[in-house]
Amino acid sequence: MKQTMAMSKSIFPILACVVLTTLGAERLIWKADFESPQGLAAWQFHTKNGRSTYALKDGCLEVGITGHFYDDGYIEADIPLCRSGYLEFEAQVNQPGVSNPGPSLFLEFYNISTFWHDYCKDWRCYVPAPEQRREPGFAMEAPGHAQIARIFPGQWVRYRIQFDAKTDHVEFLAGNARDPSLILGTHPVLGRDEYLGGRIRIGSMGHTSPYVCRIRNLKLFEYDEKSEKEGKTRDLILLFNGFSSNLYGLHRILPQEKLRTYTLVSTRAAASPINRWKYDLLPGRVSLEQAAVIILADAPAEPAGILPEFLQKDIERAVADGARLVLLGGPCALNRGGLGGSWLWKRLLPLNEGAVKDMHTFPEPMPIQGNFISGTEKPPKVLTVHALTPRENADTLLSAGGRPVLVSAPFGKGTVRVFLGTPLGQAEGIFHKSTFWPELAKYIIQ
Amino acid sequence: MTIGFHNVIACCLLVACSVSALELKLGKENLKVSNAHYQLTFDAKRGYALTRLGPAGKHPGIPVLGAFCCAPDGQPDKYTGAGHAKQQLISQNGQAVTCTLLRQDAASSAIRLSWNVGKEISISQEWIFDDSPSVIVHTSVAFTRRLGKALWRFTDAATPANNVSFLPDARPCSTVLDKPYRSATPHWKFLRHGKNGTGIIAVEDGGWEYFQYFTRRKSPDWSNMNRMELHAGELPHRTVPGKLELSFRLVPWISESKIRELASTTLPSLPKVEIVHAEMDKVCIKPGENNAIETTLINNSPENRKVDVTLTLDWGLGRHLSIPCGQIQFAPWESRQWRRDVPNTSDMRWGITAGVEIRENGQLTDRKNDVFSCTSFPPEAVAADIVNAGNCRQDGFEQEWADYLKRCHAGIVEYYCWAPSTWSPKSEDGLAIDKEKWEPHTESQGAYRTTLTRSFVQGFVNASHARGIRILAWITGLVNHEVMLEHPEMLQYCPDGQPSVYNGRVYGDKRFAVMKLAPYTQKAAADWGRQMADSVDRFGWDGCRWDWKFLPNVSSDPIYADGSPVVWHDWRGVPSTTLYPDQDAVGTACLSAWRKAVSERHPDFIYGTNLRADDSLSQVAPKYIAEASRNAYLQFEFLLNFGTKYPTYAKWAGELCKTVQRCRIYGGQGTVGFMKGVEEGSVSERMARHVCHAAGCKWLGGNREIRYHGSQRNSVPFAIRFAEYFYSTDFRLLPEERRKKEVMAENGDECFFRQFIYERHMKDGRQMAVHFVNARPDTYVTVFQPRPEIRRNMKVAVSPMKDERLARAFALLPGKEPACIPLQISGNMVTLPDWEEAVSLIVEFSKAGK
Repeated sequence: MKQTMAMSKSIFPILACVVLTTLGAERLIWKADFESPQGLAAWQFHTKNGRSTYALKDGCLEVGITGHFYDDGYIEADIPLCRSGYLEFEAQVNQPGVSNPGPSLFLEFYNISTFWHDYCKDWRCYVPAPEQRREPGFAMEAPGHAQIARIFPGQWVRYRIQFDAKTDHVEFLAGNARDPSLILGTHPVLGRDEYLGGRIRIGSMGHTSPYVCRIRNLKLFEYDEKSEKEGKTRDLILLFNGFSSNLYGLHRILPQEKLRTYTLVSTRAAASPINRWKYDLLPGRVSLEQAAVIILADAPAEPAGILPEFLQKDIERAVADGARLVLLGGPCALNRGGLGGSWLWKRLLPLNEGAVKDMHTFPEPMPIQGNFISGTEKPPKVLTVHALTPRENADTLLSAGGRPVLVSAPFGKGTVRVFLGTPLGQAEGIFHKSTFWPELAKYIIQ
Repeated sequence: MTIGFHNVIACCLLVACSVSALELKLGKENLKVSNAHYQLTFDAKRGYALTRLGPAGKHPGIPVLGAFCCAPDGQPDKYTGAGHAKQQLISQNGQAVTCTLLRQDAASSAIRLSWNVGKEISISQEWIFDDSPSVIVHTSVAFTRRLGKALWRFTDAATPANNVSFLPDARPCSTVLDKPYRSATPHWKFLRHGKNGTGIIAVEDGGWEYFQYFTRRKSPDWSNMNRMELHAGELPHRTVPGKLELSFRLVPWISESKIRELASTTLPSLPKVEIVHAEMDKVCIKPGENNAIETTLINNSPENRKVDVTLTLDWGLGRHLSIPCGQIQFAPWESRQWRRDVPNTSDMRWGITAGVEIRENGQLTDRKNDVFSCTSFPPEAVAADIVNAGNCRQDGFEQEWADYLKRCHAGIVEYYCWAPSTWSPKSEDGLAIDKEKWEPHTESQGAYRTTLTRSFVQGFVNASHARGIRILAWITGLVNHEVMLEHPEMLQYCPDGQPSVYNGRVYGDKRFAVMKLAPYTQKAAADWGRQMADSVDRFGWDGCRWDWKFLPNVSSDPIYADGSPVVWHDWRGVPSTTLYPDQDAVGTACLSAWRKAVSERHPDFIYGTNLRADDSLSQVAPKYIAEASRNAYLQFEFLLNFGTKYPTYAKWAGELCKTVQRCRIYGGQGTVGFMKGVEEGSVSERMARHVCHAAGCKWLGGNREIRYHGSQRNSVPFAIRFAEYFYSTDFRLLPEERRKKEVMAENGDECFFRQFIYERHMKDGRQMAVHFVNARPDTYVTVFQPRPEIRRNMKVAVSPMKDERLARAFALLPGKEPACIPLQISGNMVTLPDWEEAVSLIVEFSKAGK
């Protein structure tokens, strides 16, 4: 405790530790030759007369899309088999003004399949559809679509698909994003290609109005895990901006240069009382391996598994490896956020599981108490707290009205902290509006 | 090249004021053309669109964009359940355009631009330059699929929109964000900035239907773009494969006097003295309230002229008043404003047509008209529209917004959305926000972020009142994120304990989210009603339009996406079904308390709401439907699905009529609108509008301006003028059995009328209204429909009751000027006049012997 207090007096040093990382050097193992006139000689054409066309121009592969829906042909090439790496390319999809849009270009490699959906102006991938969409008599899922990112027609966009066959992770990144828009956490990356050899396919799904899509700089990199492992510093703060996170205002308190945010957004109007949410981005492998602190600020895991179990396991690995996990309370946190019974709670959280409606509202705002706050002239107050109790191995660092407010416990090389206060209610001196809040926030997080 | 076109060239030569060498340079990058009057640049990289223009000499010119645009028609040929595809406008700018030099000499040069849009549309455009101030542009479009739009668009982003006037209408052309100002062709328009400007002359028989002008204003100064467009009309109804010939003349950089002169010589068909427009001061007045008509008249000739002016008024069934208003004298080319108070006699109610006629030497030379309403309950007699605060918010443009809405004949406007939160413990933080500037924070924040100022809202409401427009504040019943976090006990919760969030968005570090309120006690509802009354005091609203309801166990979503009663939980986790087992009683009591609290302070307050008054709700909540419909303005949003639920006119009309009748007995006036799946302006949409009116319902929104030729097929003035026969609550739909027996029409199976037979009882007899729509009832609404054939000499027989005789009959016809035509009666039969899209037959039965 004393050590922590001493750190809070400093200029908020981010928890930093040196870890051995699996991040190694990357190595270019294949590149499509779209520059030389014979560049397409290495590709096999599976397109009949009148169907999609493939030509090279100005260093680009031009895919001429025709009106043969779902039967417009493709080209295919052999690529080296790689268990961990990424495919990178740029694509210009659709043209403004093309009428009757629909699915158009697709690009597949190994067992990873993506396509561009003009109508919705987005990049998508195929994933197994939910169980309820199985065809009668079949035990396997029909293919479903997962939206990856919004794409503006006619613009060149950089794409990166990172994969790791060991963890079955596939990460999809578009534009200049540092983190994936979508992670498939249990995807058989190589599929049949593991036995048949690596393949890449580029093709067309057909379109009512013929037009041209372009692809360039198509490269495959392999992570070289045999290269010398180097010391990496965990110095990033991964902040999940949950429902009331703007009241916590951590983005104003934490150092911007180290901050990566993952914001809870509404996907569409929710007529029924089932919230329709997702996080705009999810932390990818790179971010998690560099994370010093992971903050779930009133950040729900449900509904619809928006904080999927594989990510919870990734977070567990990061904490075991030295990162700190911090959960901040709110109307969508903990049990209300669907964390009850989750992997994260069972494995990491220093709290006994409680009822779903775990809130307790004090008759009047209660001052937050604890060594860190003692001596403060106007201690911050809290009106509503999560009514949960700490596990045996946990320390209660702050409390209010006889209830724990900040609970902490070690996990592996890291720590897990849960702030059970919530920013709900209107009261003078409530903690998140008090002048003491930045200092308190730093104390909770660091 | 047509003979007519040569005539135009000849006219051009006549007005050429100086002779100077015509220069044309066709390079790799661009095409440059100049003469003694202008210099033009066409950019090869931008499809040889016109990208710069200026006067002759060293003037650098101004950046512009002049390009031809077209869009294929998106209406499907077969019913698939889907609506029309959105028309995608494809501009010449960006296409692979070939430029060919046709001829080049000192007197005249010509180029041809040609390009294809897909395989189905090919365009060839000839530009003819000579030493005159104008350029002739002739466009040929060959198409093998239906076209939806074809236009020539001229954009001037260099001239502040605030400094522009638009001639010859001789009044400010200032428009509001993206809302066009339209006028008919053949004519000419001149976009003036300072002393000079650019003119477009739509030559006679040039193939264009109307001009459209608008500004796209962006903050902070709201003035950064002017756009003129020439539109070809009725394109989907041209023969396919087909060809379109469109001609106009561009007059770059010319003074106002020169373009007047040029226009007068090239357009000899303009009337010598013309009424440019006639417009009522107010769209809707109360009985006894004053109104006036204002017109702009122009002398299009170089001589002095004088005209006699007459004001006419038409109302009811054949009521007419003609008032001579003296003589007006004009100097050459003079334009004058003329206005006159309109008398309001005690029997002038519902819709009234006011017309202005001018006569030269006793001969009628021009007539323009406008319609307005006179009523003490506006929802029954006016057209309704809706504007969003995301658009309607520019300080300084309050008058322009009201003007635009008046041009669309909107007597009621739903203003959506305007409050930072529709509920707050204190009204000054919510409905009656006491700040100069705030961010509306409701459902729409899911789509955009915007700000509003008190001065704009108050100014807009006042400006609308001055034009007889009633403004209803939109209320969603959704609470904003910050208010919610401070008062979590007032919310609905999901079964998993999370607050039930309707939607929202994060902008920067600010989260906008809206949640559903649970104020289901009479005290809470009454407090809320008093906050609405505070809001009326502060902003001057005439009423409200809820997009939410006081039923505790149904979703606050107006479209009922889940289609089932929704169970939410309160703050403690108690299900709503346990809290409120009798939702009808609780909802009725809360709504009643809310309405009472407002009307105690504002007796004329118009209560409006979104109401799903269908069979299922009428079974579970009959009292609530009665309370919500009581003298209310109603939105039937649940009826707006043309895709799968109500795909044919008959299915839609059946449900519409049933719903209207269900609410009409309590005085409710219904609207539907922004119908999904139909193309604006298409025959399908026009027919759907007529069906809507015939069912006794108003069509909300999308009312186009009526000052162009398309207005001949605009149903809005028709519905306003004859509102009494569409919307009067004493007209009741006849039972189906009587509808089958009491009206017979010749070839009646070919049109739709059987659903729309109403009657009302009067002092000395009975009136029957039969509305005919020229479409088969089983027609799929979203499918492409050709223009209907004109129905001629259609005979209709009606069946008087015992002791009744057919006393009078009238046909009500839509058109540029809605008309009421008395009909000859032959026994129990009448013959309708020729009609194209819709006609209403009103017959009066009197007691035999009277």
